Amino acid sequence: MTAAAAPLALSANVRARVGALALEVELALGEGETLLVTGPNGAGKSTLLSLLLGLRAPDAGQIACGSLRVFERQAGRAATLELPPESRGFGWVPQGDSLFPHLTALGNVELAAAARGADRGRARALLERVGAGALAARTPLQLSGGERQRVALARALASSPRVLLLDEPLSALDARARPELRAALVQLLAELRLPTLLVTHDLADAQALGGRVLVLEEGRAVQRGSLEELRASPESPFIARFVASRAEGA
Amino acid sequence: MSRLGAALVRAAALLLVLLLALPLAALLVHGGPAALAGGLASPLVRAALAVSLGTSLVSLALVLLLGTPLAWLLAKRRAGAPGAVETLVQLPIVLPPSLAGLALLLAFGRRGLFGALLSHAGISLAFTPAAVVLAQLFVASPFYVQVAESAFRAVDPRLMDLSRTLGCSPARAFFRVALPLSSRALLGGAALAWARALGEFGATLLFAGNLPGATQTLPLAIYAALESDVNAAAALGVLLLAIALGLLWLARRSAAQLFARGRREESEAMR
Repeated sequence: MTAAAAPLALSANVRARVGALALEVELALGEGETLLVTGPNGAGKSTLLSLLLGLRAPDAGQIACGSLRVFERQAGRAATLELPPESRGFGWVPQGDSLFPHLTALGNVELAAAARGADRGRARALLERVGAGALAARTPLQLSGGERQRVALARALASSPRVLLLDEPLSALDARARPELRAALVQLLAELRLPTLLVTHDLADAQALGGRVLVLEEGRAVQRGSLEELRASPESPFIARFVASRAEGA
Repeated sequence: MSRLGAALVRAAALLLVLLLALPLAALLVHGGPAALAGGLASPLVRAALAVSLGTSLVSLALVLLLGTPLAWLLAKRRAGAPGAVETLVQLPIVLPPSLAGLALLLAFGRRGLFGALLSHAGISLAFTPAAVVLAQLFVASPFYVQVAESAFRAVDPRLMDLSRTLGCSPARAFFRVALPLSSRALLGGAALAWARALGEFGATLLFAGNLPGATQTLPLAIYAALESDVNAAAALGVLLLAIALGLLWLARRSAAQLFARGRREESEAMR
């Protein structure tokens, strides 16, 4: 019962209308916990992340990061609290290539470290930590897809995040590079014990990372639970297909 | 028949190339090393060179300082029909410079719309280097703002978002991400604006006058020298030509980079 009393690393309850999508999601993430968010294309997974990050304002709801209140707005009113993205403390790894093309691998990590007032040594240490220490002087064009994601992860960590938000971190990789980086990610997350929200459409990620799964469809959470629970009683055709799918590149 | 057509195309092209090349060749013949040395020795030429460099560098600084924020704001607007500000910014590019000079005179001249206001404040612009700077700013800044706006538009907004989530304030994100990603293009735009400022003639003549040592720039000095000494005018011309070639090289280098970036993004989008 003590687990229930532990403070939540992230709690959010947001509503937003974006184009044809009406998003309404409630989610909670405990300290050290990993939550997987999955769902069909257009379900609102990336939109949910942009709401949490402060890149888009919800129409209503609240977001808190541990004891830090990040966003508060009642329906039909102006927001009473809206921290800018730089004050929220989320470490974001966006989908696809996201490295700053004018900076080296180390420069990318240093930009984040410097923005948080950390010294350059920390940037190098983080690059080592994700297994990209030897790539420090390379530019993004000289890196493979997997290497870029490692650097992007180190950069997100350099911003001293309270919560990690990873948007399909493995999807841009080819089938050979994926298992290797997945294993590295599993190990790193286990060591860091950082609360992590990971968006994926790959069953293998859910199998490897464990933890709870939240399934979004058309902007709503249709099911939450462990992979076993989803498998035992899938509540939608999408979920049934997802749990029965052959894991990509597993 | 088709062979005749091909010959006509070539002849037309050659004719235009000759029309562009011959005047410059004549300039080089008249303004040879001896004339150039003689011209540079003349106090009038040296004064004009000083006025030109001084005013155009001040103009350039103002163009960068004021044009960069304007270009950034314009680039952040949603793409769509050009608004009043865009039209205002583009207009001086197609406006005859003498018209610009007349407009400046009517606005800030001694008897202009704001002339009384300025003279109350103890400011008299007419026949001062400040008037030269104002004329240059009016005709040259649009060239920079245009290039800077399209460079800023080419910056991936996701990278700007990302830098914010990493802890950068909007200002820091601008200086660490948007500015370095656009730097080569901005340099090219600055080169274009500087070239336009250096070559400014009509607006300067009408608004600032042709006062040696104060408002007489190189182009105005060429005009003045022509009455007495063709070779001196040609020497001045060669000087301007050399500067212009350097600026063209700068502008081209950055255009090539903008083009290369556009192509890279295209090929990535196609993957």
